[in-house]
Amino acid sequence: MSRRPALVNRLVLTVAGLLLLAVGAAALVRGLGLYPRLFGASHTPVVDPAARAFADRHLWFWAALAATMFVLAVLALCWLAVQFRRDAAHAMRWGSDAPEGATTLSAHALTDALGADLGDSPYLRRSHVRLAGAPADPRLYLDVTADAHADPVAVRGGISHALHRLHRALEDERLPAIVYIRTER
Amino acid sequence: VTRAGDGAARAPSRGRATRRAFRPRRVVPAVVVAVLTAVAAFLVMVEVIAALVGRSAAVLPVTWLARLGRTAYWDDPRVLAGAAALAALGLFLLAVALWAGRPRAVTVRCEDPDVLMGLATPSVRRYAEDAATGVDGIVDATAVARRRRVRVRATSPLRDAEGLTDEVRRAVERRLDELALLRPPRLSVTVRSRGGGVT
Repeated sequence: MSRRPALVNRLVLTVAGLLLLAVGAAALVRGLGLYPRLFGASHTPVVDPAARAFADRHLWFWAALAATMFVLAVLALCWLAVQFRRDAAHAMRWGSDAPEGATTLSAHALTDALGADLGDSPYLRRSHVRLAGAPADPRLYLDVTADAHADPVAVRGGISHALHRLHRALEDERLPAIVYIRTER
Repeated sequence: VTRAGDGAARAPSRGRATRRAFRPRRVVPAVVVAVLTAVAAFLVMVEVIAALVGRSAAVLPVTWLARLGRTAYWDDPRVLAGAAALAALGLFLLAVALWAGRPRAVTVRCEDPDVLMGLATPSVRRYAEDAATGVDGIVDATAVARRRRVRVRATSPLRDAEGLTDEVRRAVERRLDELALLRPPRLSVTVRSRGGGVT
């Protein structure tokens, strides 16, 4: 998984939490009459009559409110979309940066080869291989499920072997891999 | 080119990189907050636009809300309770955002500096349980695996199970060694004898 959604989620949740906390705390302070000078008197209506009159007189207030809500809804939907977007790459760049020598390698060719190699290991039940990142800066995500009682040394050996073969096939092109190993229940 | 020495030297940062790679992404709270925000903002927008063109969309209890705004006072207990709930929700979201969460995998040693390997924490637990039950005289074992600690509780039908503790510890240690964890966890073992069993 790419770490970008993790960062975005942390940031947005922090901002949302701070906002709610600030609004709630301010309302509490006002209601309890802790700082009447700063926050206003506690025994007053929540919606100030003056504010109501202002909103009633100015049409742009409502238009601005609708526009703000529209922007907020769109931003929330964008945030939602980030959660479900998979950071999948279709290809990786292979070989030198020379303009005439830029070869790209399809993600399918790569993940299929590695998947087949992993499938050859008798200890591995399932494997899921995914290429991610930009073509010039690819990453490989491996999700491997081993037998419940599989020898851990053999499991690691099988994975290392498959990755090693892939590296050799790529002629030592750098391809960082993130491997997640689990055993069957 | 082998860079095994390099990989070992970067061990701490590798551990951090793996932890980061397997850290929960807070997808569930993000989806919940995003959906609620989108729905609320959309409803308010629809209602305001409807009011602007001179009719009511009736998706929100507008008249009730307007009356509430006029009649509710800041020192009303209901308003105070609402404010407290809002602040508490804010604190909760902050906690969710700031608490990093337990990674779903522990780092496994790997010579290749380009490979980050993690073993699922439940798998560490199952391996430890397996090793403990493999010891003669142990019928059942449950383990709790964390990043830095593994606790094994084994049960034996033998009345005098004290002597088994060391044996279980050795067996589990051997298995943990095989897992080649970057930071070998501390191991604690207790063996209980199930009373009334075979002696």
